[in-house]
Amino acid sequence: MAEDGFKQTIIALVLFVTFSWLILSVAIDFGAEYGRDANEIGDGSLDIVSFEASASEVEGDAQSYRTRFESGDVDDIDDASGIFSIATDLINMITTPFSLLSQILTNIFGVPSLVINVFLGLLAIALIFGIWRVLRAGS
Amino acid sequence: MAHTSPSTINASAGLDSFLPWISEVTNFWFGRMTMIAIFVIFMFGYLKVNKDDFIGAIAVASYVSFVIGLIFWVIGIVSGLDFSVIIGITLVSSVLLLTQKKDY
Repeated sequence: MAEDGFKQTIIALVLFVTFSWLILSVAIDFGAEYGRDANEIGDGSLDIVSFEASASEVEGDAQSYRTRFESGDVDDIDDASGIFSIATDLINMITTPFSLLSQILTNIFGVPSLVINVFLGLLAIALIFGIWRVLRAGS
Repeated sequence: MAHTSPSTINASAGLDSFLPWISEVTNFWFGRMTMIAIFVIFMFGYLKVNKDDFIGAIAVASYVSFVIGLIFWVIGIVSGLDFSVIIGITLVSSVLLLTQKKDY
């Protein structure tokens, strides 16, 4: 049994590397052909500047929410940009930790994008099925 | 935040000039929700036909999402981070699909 488990792990590893290479090269080559920057997908580099930009953006957003909610005026909260803007803000508040996590992993720890891709992919699958489970429990 | 006016878009250039504008004003949420919808529709469609093959459903849905996401990413509807999540799901589901059978 142990031998079978080891064999399966090795095959999984080989398949994972092969598929990673295949899928990433397709995406990066196709993107490069049409002038898209594939850094976010292919590379993982130590770039503190982009993390700083992301952190400043989160801080700016938080200050903006605070000002708008403290004013207590519905028109100010709405910001004359419609209900969709409020919905986007609400969802962004939920997803900000994940976005910051990926920024920290890429730009501070220099983790390769491939690892973060897989991690975020697992997280997305878990979220979709988590929501599904909640809905089924509710119904 | 001020967005570009839709009247400045050259609509004669086709949908690929208009869709990136929608993506810009919705902060990439248009493409994100479209990709989630495509993933969920294909996954449950596969599950309806083949109820037992759960990993197969994720794999098929992720391949479809990958191909459509690749085109959307090039046009500018889906952000690089969202596309990398799709790549992650594709990789995970491919390996799960190919290693679930133990009789090599």
